[in-house]
Amino acid sequence: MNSSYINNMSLAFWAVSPVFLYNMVYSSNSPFLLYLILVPLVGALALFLIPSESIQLIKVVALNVSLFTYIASLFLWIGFDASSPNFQYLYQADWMPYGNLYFTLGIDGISLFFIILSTLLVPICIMLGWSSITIYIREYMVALLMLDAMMIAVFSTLDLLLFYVCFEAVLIPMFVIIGVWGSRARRIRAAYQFFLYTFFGSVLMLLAILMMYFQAGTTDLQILLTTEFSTQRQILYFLAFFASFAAKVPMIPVHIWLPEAHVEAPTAGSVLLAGIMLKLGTYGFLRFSMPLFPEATLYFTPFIYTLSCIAVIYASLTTVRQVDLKKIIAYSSVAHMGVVMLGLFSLNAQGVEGSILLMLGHGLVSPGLFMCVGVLYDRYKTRLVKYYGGVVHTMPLFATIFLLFTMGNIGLPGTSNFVGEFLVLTGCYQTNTLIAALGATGMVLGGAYSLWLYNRVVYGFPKPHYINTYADINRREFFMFVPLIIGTLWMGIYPEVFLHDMHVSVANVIQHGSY
Amino acid sequence: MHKSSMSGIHEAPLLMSLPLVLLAFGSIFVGYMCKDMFIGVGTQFWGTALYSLPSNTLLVESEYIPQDIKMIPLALTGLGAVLAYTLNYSNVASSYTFTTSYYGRMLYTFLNKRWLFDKVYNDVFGKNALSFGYNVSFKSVDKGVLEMLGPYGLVVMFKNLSGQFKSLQTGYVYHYAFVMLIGLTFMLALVGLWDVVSVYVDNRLYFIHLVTYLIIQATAGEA
Amino acid sequence: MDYLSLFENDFLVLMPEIFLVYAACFLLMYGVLVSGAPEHAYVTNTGFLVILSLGLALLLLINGPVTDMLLMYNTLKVDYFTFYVQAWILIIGIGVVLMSFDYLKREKMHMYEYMVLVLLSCTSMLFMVASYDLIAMYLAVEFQSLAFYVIAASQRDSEFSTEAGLKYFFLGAFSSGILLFGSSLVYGYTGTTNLSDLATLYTGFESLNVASGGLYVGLMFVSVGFLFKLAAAPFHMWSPDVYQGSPTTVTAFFALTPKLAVLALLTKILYVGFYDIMGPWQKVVMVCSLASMVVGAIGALGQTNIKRLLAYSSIGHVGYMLMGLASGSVEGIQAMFVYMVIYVAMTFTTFCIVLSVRTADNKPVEYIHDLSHMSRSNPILAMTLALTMFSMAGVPPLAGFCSKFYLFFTALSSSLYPLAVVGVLSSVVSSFYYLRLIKTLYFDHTNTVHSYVSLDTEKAWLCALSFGVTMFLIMYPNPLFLASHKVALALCALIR
Repeated sequence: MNSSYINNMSLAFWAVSPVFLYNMVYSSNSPFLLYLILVPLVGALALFLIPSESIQLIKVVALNVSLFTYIASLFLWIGFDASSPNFQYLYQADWMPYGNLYFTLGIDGISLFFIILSTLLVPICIMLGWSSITIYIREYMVALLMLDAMMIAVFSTLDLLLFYVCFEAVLIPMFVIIGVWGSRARRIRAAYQFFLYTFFGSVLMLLAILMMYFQAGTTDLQILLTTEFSTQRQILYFLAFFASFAAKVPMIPVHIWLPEAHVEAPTAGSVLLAGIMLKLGTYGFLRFSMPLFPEATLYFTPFIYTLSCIAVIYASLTTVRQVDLKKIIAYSSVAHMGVVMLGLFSLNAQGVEGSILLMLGHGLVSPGLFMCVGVLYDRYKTRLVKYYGGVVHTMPLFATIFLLFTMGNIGLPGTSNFVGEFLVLTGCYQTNTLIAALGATGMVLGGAYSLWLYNRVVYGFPKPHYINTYADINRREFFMFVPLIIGTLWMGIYPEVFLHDMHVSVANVIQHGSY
Repeated sequence: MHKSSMSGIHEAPLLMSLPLVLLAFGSIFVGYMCKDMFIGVGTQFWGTALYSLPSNTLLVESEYIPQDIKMIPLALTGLGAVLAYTLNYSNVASSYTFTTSYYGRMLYTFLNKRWLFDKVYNDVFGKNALSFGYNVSFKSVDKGVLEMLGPYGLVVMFKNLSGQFKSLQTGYVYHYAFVMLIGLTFMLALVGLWDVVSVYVDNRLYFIHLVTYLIIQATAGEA
Repeated sequence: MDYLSLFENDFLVLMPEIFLVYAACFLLMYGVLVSGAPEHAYVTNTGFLVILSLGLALLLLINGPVTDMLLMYNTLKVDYFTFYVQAWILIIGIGVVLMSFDYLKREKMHMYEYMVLVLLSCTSMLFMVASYDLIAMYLAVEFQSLAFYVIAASQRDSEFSTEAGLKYFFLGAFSSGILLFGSSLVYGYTGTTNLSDLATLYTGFESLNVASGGLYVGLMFVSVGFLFKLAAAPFHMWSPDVYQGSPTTVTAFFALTPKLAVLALLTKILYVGFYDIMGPWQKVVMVCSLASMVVGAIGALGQTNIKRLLAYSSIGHVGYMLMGLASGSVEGIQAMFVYMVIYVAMTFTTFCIVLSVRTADNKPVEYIHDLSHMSRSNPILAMTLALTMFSMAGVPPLAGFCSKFYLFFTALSSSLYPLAVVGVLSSVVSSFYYLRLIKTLYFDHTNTVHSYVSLDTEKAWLCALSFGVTMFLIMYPNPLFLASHKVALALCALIR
C-alpha cells in the first residue's frame, strides 16, 4: 500500500468525522463518554488486523485514531455546561447488577481537562515513536491506544471499583512500555519498581473500597458521597487510599520508583508518566479521598502538609545535583507535585483550583521537557549533562523551545505553572503561612536547578569531541512541541478559560470536604 | 579593546537618536504629565489591579501629605546630582586624595563587595544546600535508606526466604510425611489449645509480628 | 415384590456415572483389541472415543430427569451444586484429552490407557462430588486417587514420572489413612456416617459445652486428609515434585480437576455435615489458607522450572479459594466457585501454551528461560501468556481480578481481616514471579532458539476459548456470579 493512498484515506476519514462527532454530542442521551473510550479500543483491535509488513499503515492508523479521540474529547468541552454542579454526560450500564455494581461514567469540570490532556498526549507519544521505535511497532501503538482508553475511563468513571480497575489496568501497558522500549538493561528493574510500588499501594485501596462496598452496599460515587462513615473508619480508609495515591503522586518516602522509571522509560513513557500517571494520584485525592472522608482529610492535613513541604525542598535540592537530564526533570516533578498537594489540602477554592491548574500546566511543561531531552537523546545517545554544551550554536530552534519549557518549569509569569503556583500559594497562605513560605522556596530552588540546567546544556562552548553531528529539530518534532507550547502560554496568559469550567465543580468538592 | 573596534566609534545617527530623544523625554516627564491619571484622587485607572481593603485609607491619605515632605524626593535628587558633579567633575583631585587616604580606603573596603554578602550566602547556604542535595538526600536517603527498606531490601529478603523454602523441599518422602505430621499436630494443637493460643493471635498483634519479621529479615540479608 | 423397582429412580439419576463406568470398561477392551494397530493412531482413536463418552455423559447430566434427590440409601445426593461441579469436571476432562493428543504423539507415549485413566478419574470425581456419606466419600476419593497414582507414573520410560507416581502414592496413602481414621473417629463418637444425620446431631452442639475432643480430632483428621489432596500448605510438599515429574498434560489435569472436585467435596462435608461446629474447622482452614498463600507466593520466587512454578502458583490459588471456604457464608462459597471457574480458564490457557512451545532440539520446554524469545517466534502466544500471567497476578481488568476482589470482599464481610490483608500482600509478592515470566517473554533478548511449532487445532480452540474468558469476563461477569450464587444456595439449602 503506497503512502499517498494512506494519506487519501486519512483525509477522507477526517472529512466525515466532524459530522459524526457533532451528532454524537448533540443527539440526546448519546453515551458520548462510552464512545470516547471505545474509539481507541476499537482502533487497537483494528491494528491487529493490519498485516505486520505494512508498518507505515499501522502508524498512520494509530495516529489518526488517537487524533480523532483528541478532537472528540474537545467536543466534550464544547458541550460542557460550566454552570452545573452535576456530573455531565452521565452514562450507566449494567456491569454486575447482581452485586449492585454499575458501569457509571460522567465528568465534571475537574475531570474534563484531564481527559483532554491525556487524549492530547497520546498522539504526541505516537509521533514520538514514529522513527525512534524500531521493534514491536504494532505492540507499541496498541499499548498507547489502550492507555488512551484506560486514561479516559479512569478520569470519567464515577464508580469506585471501576476506578480501581482502570487505575490498575494502566499498569499493564505502562509496564510493557518501560520494559520493552526502555533504553538500558536497568529498565527491567525500573519497570518492576514502577509496577510493584503502585500495585502494593493500590491493593490496600482495594481492601478499603471493599469495606466501603460492604458498608454502603454500593460503590457508586454519587451515593457514597451521601454516606457518612464514622471518623475512625474514615481515618482507616483515608490511610488505605493514601497508600495508593501517595505512591502514584509520588509523596516523599515512596518516590524512588519515579526517577528510575522516568530515566529508563522511552521518551513516550516518560511523557505519559509525567503528564498523566502522576496526576492520577492527585486526582484520586481530589475526587475520592477529600470528599468521601472529610473528617479524615482535616485530621491528616498537617501530615500531608509536612510531607509535601519536605517533598518540595528535599526534591528540589536533590534535583540541583543530578547529572542525568531525565533525572533532573523527574526529581523536579516530585517537587512540583509536592506543591500540588499543598494546594489540594489548603481546602479552599484558590488552592484547589491552583493545584488543578498546576497539574495541567505540569502535564504540559514536563512532557515538553522530556521531549526536549528525547530530542537530544535521539541525536547523541547520551543523557549526561556533562557531554552537552553550547547547544544554542547548533540548534537555535531547539534552544528556544527548551528555554520556553524551562521557564515554564520555573513558573515564570506568562506560563501555566506560574498561575498554578501563585494560586496554590495564595490558597495555602490563607490556611498556614509557614507552609506557604516553605512551599514558596520551591519556586526559588526551581529557578536554581532549571536555569543551571539550561545554562549547562545550551550555553557555553560546544564540545565537539562529544557532540559532533548537528541537526536542529525537524518538522515532525516541531509539530509535537507546538500544542504543548500553545497550551503552556494560553494557560499562563488567560487561565480563566480553564478556571471558568472548574469553579462550580471545585466549589462542590470543597463543600464536601469541609464543614 | 581592539584598535579596529576603537576606530569605528561614532555618535549615534539621527535615525537612532530620534527615538532615544523621544524615550528620554517620556521617561522624564510622563510621570508629571499623567500624574492625575495614575495617582489622582479617585482615579479608576488601576481598577482592582491594585486592590486595597476599604479600611486602608493609604491612597487617600497620601493626597494630604504636607508640601515640604512631598518635596523631599526632589530635593534629595538635586542634592545627589550636585554631589555627583562635585566629586566626579569639578573636584576630581580632592576626591582622589580622599579615596586614597586611610579613611577613604577604609570606607571603600567597607562598601565594596557589598559587605561580602555573596560570600556568606555561598558558604552558609549555597554549599550546604548543594552538599545536602547530593550527600544527604540523594546518597544516604534515596539511594540508601529508602532503597534498602524498599526495592533492594525486599528483594534480598524474599530471596532469602525462598531459599529457605527451597531447602525445605528436600525430595525425600519421609521428610514430606514428617512435615505433614507436624502440620496435623499443629492443627490439633491450635484447636485443642485454642483458649491458650487465642491470646497470641490478636488481630492487632499481626502488624507488630509482621514488622518485626520484616526488620529481622532485612537485617539478616545485609549480614 | 420387585425389589429392583425400589432403586429404579436411583438408576435414572445415576445414568451419567453408570454410563461412564461402562464406557471405561468397553474402551479398555477396545484399546486391547486395536493396540496392535500401527503407530499412534489407536491412542488418538481412543482419545476421541473418550471425548465422545464424556460428551455423552455431559448430555445425560444436563438432561437428567431429577434435579434434586437423595439416592442409594442416602449415600449420594444430586442437586444443582453437584450438577454444576460435575458439568465442569466433564468439560475439563474433555479439555485435558484434547490437550493431550499432540503431546502424547510428540513424546511417543503410545498408550491408550492414558485416555481411559482420564475417563476413569473423571468418573470417580463425579461420584466424589455426589457423595453424601463418609463411607461413600472415602470410596470415591480412593477410586480417584488410584487412577491418579497410575496416571502420574504413566510415562514409563521417564524416571521423573515414576518418581512422581511413587511419591504421590506413598504420601497419598498416608493421607488416605488420615482421612479414614478421621472418618472412623467421627463414626465412633456419633454412630453415623451420613452427613445430614451428622448435621442433625450437631444442632446447637457448640453451645452445649459437651466434652468432644475425640470428635474434633476426627474432624481435624478428615479436613487434613482433604487439604492434602488439595495440596494446601503445610500439606503441599508433594505437589511440586509430582507436578514436575508427571507428563505435562497430567500436570494440567492435576492442576485442574482435583482442585475443583476435592474442594467441592470438602465444602460439602464442612458446610453440610459439620456447619454447627464451625469453630474448629474454620481455624484449620484459615491457617491453611494463610500458609498456602504465603508458601505459594514465596516458594515460587526461586523456581526456574516452569512446572514447579505453576505448582507453587496453584498452591497459592488454593490458598485464595480456601479463604472463601473459611468465611463460612453463602457469599464465601459463591466467591470460591467464581474463583474456581476463572482459575480453570487461566490454567487451561497457561498449560496449552506451555505444551505448544518446544525448545530448539524439539523437547518440551522445562525452564522459564526456555520461553525467552517466544515474543519473536510466537508473538500471539507470547501476548496471550503475558496477559494470562497478569490475570493470575490479579491485575484488572482481567478475569483474575474479578475473582479476587469478590473473595476479598467476602473475607472482609466475614471479618476475616488477617486473611484479606495477607491475601492482598501475597498477591503483590506473587505478582513478582508472574512479572518475571513476562519479563522473560518480552524483555530478555537472549539467543535461545525455538523450533517454531504452530498450535494444533484442538489446543488452539481450547486456548482461544479459555483466554476469551480471561480477557472479556470483566465486561459482563454477571452470569458467572449468578450461577455460582445458585450453586452456593443449593449447597447451603442443606444446612438446617
